[in-house]
Amino acid sequence: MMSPTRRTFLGLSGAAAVTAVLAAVGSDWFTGNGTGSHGALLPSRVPLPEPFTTALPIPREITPTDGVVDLVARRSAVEVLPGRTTEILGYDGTFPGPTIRARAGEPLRVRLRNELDLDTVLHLHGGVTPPEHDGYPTDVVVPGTVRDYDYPLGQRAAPLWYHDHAMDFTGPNVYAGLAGMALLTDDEEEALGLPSGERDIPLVICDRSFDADGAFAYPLIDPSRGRPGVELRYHGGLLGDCVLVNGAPWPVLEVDAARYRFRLLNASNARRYELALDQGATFTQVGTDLGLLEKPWVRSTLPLAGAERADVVVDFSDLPVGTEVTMTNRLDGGGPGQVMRFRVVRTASDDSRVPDRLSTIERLDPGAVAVTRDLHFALGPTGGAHHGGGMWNVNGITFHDGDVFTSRLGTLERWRLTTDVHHPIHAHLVGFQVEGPDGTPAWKDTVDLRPGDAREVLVPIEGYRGQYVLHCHNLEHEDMMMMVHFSVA
Amino acid sequence: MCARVRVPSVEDMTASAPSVPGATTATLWLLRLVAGVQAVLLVGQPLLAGRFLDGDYPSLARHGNNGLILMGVAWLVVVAAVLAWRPGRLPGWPVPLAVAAAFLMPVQLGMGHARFLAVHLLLGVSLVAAGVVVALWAWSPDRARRSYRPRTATAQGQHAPAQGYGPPQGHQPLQTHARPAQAVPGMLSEPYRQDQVWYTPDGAARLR
Repeated sequence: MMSPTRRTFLGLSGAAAVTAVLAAVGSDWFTGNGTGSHGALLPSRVPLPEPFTTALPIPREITPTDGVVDLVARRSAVEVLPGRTTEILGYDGTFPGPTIRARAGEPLRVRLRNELDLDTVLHLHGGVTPPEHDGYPTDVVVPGTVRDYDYPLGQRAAPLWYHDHAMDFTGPNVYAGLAGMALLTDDEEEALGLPSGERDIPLVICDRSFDADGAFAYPLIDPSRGRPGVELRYHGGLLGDCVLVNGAPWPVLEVDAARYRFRLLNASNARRYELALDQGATFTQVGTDLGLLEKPWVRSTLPLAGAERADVVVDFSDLPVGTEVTMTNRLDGGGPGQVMRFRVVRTASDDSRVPDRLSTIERLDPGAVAVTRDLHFALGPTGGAHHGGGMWNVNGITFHDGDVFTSRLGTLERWRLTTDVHHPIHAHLVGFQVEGPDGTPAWKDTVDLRPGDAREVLVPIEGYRGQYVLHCHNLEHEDMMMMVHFSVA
Repeated sequence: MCARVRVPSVEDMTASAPSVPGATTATLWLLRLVAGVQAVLLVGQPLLAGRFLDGDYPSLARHGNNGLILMGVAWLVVVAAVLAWRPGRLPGWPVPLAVAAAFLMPVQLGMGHARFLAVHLLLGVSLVAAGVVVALWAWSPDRARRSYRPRTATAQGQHAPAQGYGPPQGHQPLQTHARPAQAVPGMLSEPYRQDQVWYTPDGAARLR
């Protein structure tokens, strides 16, 4: 029998040992990789710039001419890091690509010319699009050809985005720069009086790492693209150490002391963010992936997984000139913990407003659900993937295994999504009705599931008949088979 | 207490071994070492799995590699547990436990790689629990004292002082500290506890 003193001594020694171990390895060790994201960090091999020294670039805006927008996918060399050139794959040679401003309800044709030396596919993320124009992963635009994508846009005003969706290589292609925003507006939204013009700014947030020569570092297992996939270490997702907003590292935006509307997009391959502002500033969220909320939602932090968008208003009008408001990422520290900065440089008049009532969303009746589907997103058995790791899959099947289900047009479905690790889930064609602020309904096309998470979403099967894909929007997961077909009949 | 079965070869070994406690402490420390290493590796397994779930993808490969190492270490624990039993004179119950763990370890790896997670989690919790129990048991300070306990000299399960070891005849304990149980809250099972120092024939003072 141990005496109480011995037992106490043992307990204390154990606690001391555990404390020592904790202190030695850092508490990050016990919270995943300390990034709030699934994947592995690839450190840059060049010195990164001081944050908040470069000006925020605003992507060029293009509007349809006779319903047509021209985009050219091509390589170009741009200055991402000061004094260095980085080769990108960009729409019109820019990263991000130009911001398309279009009207909901008015058909849009995007004429894509592929001047790259690789196949590309264009997908309008969040668009309700017939299957032949949706950017099916193997429906490629080969180099040197032009392809018309017709988007009916019979949907609400929403902050959509467009990006490459090529089979097996979406991750490297988007990482190289093939992404841009497509903002749909309509009369309802325009009548609200939200900040507009120069005070309506897309913020495309992504993380990148750089090679020693300043190139975007992407760990393809076969740089000649003979076979897809990344090195095993990055099979869970590639995390960069430099945060770019609109293609500039930790930029700064000079603002008036007024309200601004920001269309936030997480265009990262795998990184999740929880955005926050200092100096007492908050986000007033007015919309989600698929359009306006019913009423404004004041939030001190804003989680944003890959492909998610948030339409927010930030009010700088109460801040004295000279105030610097920093947007941080609370899920990480160091470089990835910083995003960008706003510097209030002048007072200005402001006739914008954020009405208490933004929109009306018809609440779907759960009693009308025709089918409930369980979709499980997880890593498959060891050895399934080329490098000996497991294949990411949905319900145990992958892209090559046919439809995971067939839905009937005009019915309402409930999807129960479950995960093993972080997976942002995105389905083409359809939207998800989820619970928004105060129990109001909200529309999403991408829902962020955390490790061991379960979410129920209501999915009206509307739009077009045909075969579509649903997938995880961690692009390394998607390229490594976490993408399956579903059909609408 | 189970009746002890006389195993002649082992008894012969212990009989021919020098009758100093060195032989038993060596086997105890061997068990402490390998069981301790195994426990640390075992506790690392849920941590690594949790880190993978929380987002650190490389932790999955570390979890698998750690499992491979554990497959080997588990057999070292079996060897150490046997030696601690005979010739080490410690109780033998860790032996079947260690053998079961060693056989289940490859099953556990197979279940993990095949993603049969329900079985993998159940087995994992059991293996960690078993490994930690053996390590804590081996490392408890009491264990060292028990390993100096007189060897069983007969097959009838009676304890008899080993030759030349134990309380010397006709000698009084050097010091005796007797404490009434009531004086120490929480001490229930022994009305009195005596810490005594004996001289062993080799002249070293031993705590008994």
